[in-house]
Amino acid sequence: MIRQIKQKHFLPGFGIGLGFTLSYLSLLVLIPLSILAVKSLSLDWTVYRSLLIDPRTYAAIKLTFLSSLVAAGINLVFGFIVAWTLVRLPFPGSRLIDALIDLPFALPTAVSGIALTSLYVRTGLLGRYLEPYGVQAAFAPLGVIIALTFIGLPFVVRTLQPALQDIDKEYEEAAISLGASPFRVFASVIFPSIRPAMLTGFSLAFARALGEYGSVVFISGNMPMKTEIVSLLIVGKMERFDYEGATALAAITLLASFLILLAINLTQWHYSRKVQQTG
Amino acid sequence: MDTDMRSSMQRLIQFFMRCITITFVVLFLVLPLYVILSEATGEGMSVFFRAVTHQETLQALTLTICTLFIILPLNILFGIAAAWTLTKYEFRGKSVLSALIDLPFSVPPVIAGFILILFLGRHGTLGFLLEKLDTQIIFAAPAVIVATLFVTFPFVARELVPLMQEQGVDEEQAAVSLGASAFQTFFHVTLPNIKWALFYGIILSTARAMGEFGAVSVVSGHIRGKTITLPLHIEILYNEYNFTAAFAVSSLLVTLAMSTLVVKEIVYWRSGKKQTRPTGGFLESPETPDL
Amino acid sequence: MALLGPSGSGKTSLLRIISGLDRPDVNPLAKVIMNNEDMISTSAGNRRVGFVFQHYALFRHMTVFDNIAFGMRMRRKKERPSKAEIKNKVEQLLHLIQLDNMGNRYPLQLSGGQRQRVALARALAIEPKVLLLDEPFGALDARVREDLRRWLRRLHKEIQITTLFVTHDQEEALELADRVVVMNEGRIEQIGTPEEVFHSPRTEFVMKFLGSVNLFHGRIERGKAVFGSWKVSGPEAGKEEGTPARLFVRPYDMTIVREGDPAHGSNAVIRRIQSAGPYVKIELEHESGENIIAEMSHERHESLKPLVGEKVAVSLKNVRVFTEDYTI
Repeated sequence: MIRQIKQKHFLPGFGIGLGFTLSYLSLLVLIPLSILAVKSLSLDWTVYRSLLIDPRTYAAIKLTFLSSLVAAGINLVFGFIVAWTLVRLPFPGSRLIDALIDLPFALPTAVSGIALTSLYVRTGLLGRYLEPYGVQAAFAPLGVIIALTFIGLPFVVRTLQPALQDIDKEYEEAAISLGASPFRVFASVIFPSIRPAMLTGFSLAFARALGEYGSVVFISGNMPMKTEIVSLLIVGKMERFDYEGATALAAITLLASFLILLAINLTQWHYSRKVQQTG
Repeated sequence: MDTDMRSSMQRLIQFFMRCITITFVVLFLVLPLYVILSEATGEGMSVFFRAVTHQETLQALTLTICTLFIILPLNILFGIAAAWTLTKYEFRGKSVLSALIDLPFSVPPVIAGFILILFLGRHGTLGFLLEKLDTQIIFAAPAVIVATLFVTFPFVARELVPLMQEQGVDEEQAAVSLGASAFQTFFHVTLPNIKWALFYGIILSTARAMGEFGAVSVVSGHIRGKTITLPLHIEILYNEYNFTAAFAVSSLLVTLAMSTLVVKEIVYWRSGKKQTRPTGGFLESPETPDL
Repeated sequence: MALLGPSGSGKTSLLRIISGLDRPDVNPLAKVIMNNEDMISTSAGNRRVGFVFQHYALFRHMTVFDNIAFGMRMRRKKERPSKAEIKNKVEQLLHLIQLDNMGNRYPLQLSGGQRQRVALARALAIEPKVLLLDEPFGALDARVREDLRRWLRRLHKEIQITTLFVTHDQEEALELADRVVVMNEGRIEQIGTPEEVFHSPRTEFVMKFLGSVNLFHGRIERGKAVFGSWKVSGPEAGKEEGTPARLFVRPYDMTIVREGDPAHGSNAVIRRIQSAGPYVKIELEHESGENIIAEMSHERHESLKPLVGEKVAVSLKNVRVFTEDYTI
């Protein structure tokens, strides 16, 4: 049938465009990444073993993973409240807050790092109120969590906002007119429709937190076994020219963050298929 | 009676949600900003200006600006080529290409720096070549540029792709049927339609280029006056307990960040989309439009 | 000339091939001939084909004036008209499309019909050898469509350019075109004047597509197509005995008479009468169980006074017969 004719090639420039894009990508990203892949695969497995039984590495992985998880969790809860307020309960000044949400993206991480540190040190603007209660934020795991929460906030808010806007008010009104309580409306109408967005926002914040460096190094204090994150461990190995160890650790981290992103894509695909099937 | 109670309950909940939002935003976004500006000017404006105009600050600024001059044209070129290819033609593997463009976003900055060392370092894959040419990339100024390029190059493409996707090829088709060449079509038809998104992509690249810390820190080697960018300079000042100077230099970058947000609002407003906010190129989300 | 067919029949693809925006990949020997010249290897830009797109595809960042001037401004320096000439020409075209003072507007500020006319003027500005219109009235509401159709017919008389337009609306095609090409599934079913395709359709598809039709499954008997008590002689007469045949009759070619009248019709029962509209529409059930739709004038209805449930005789005129082994 004539319809199968290749479309859109009335415009010249496809060859050049694709060629340029591909070679640029290969040179800058694909080749370097594949070098990491090759090097990590050709490593002796004892490197991985010594890495995994090293208590310092173990502590760093545990800290990074747990604090990323906690920070993403905090963001999920508060990010939801913020997004809900911005979408559903606007008030004078909410536009400004809305614009400010992207600040953690726009602010250089080193700047965020020193700003948060000086807020939470013992003499800092917030630290001085925490100190009497024996709560230490800066140079403690709590500081890492604070920095990662700061970094992750926009991910949750910005993925939730469009989802909340898309909810058809009619469903809610229909549910209310049928006598459902506000709580039931939320649980049965609103929550199911924003669940994919919540999952995505959470995972994005989590993935970003796993690899975060600049904002954490200042506030954590970088004490081995206590407040050292994986990124910092990699830097430390590089500075000691332990490239094998760095390669192994980098490969593991990268694999973890790729897997998370893959999982997000798969869930999204799953949900969108479900929507298509029902609708 | 029941509905009265319910609606007053509802108002109470709404009030609390607004309070939580404001508190959270103030705690996490406003206070850090405030702290930077107040610390920067805490010891008077003269100290602020001395820090900002200090020779090392100026050197860092020069390096950053040089970097910008190299990476921006490349990013624009790549962004347009990639977006043009992805949106104006149909071909197999399109979604793979689109995913590859997003790849640098999911590489943690430190690891980005590290793979560049593996690639271009003295003991790296291309090390022998560079040694023969007697040049050094890693731990020298070029490394800063390459690392910045790595972390910034998707920004322009990411801004352009959704927009060009939405605009389709109708106008280009019309232009070609009216006898315009490919170049004429691009400059007279495509470019005017994407200029705001392009501009925003450039701003995003600029902001990230000036602020990138992790990747640049790993490859720069921290050579004073040579491979120190503004964020690295801030780190050094901070670690030397020269807090006021560190915050003074930071406030420069804060200004940049704030203007990014302003430009974003303008672009958002100009694009006239009322329903959905642009997620902005910042958002490293896998939600690429279906191609 | 109109390209008529259901959606997906390949009308637009054919138009795009003619314009050069697409290339036929089915047959490498395909040719697009204009003025005795094969244009297949000429690029879209050099074919001088005026293309009006379904959704107009006006340049949204340009004024109406700039939109119309675009084609002239894009020409190579040597062939490019001077600024004054362009201005002159654009104003002429603006006058032609009755948008004289709208040159400074942007496409977004225009109504659908106005945009359509601007798109037409833009295509005319390059002095095309052929004008191609893709569903020119597709995106407009019914009233505007009527007006624009009338206007386009007048305009076409004025400008005298070979015009080819795509439509899925048979009425539009029959009213506007001198010649109609009926397409289905990528094939041309028939080319002819509106009268030819309507009154002597060459294929079943054309018959069914143009207007409503009654279909009876009969067979060939002794040189005639037979269904019930109807016997129709025709060009199919030579066909083998017993070949299945399909009889097509337009509703207005069915004559209803009272039983007992001297007619060799077939019997049917009236099920429903709908007299609102230009014709009276009558639904009948044939003695074989088939449903039939017939149309008659109001005068005939007055004199006949048929009743629902009444048994009547039906005779046929202008029956088209297609037999099973007929290939398109």
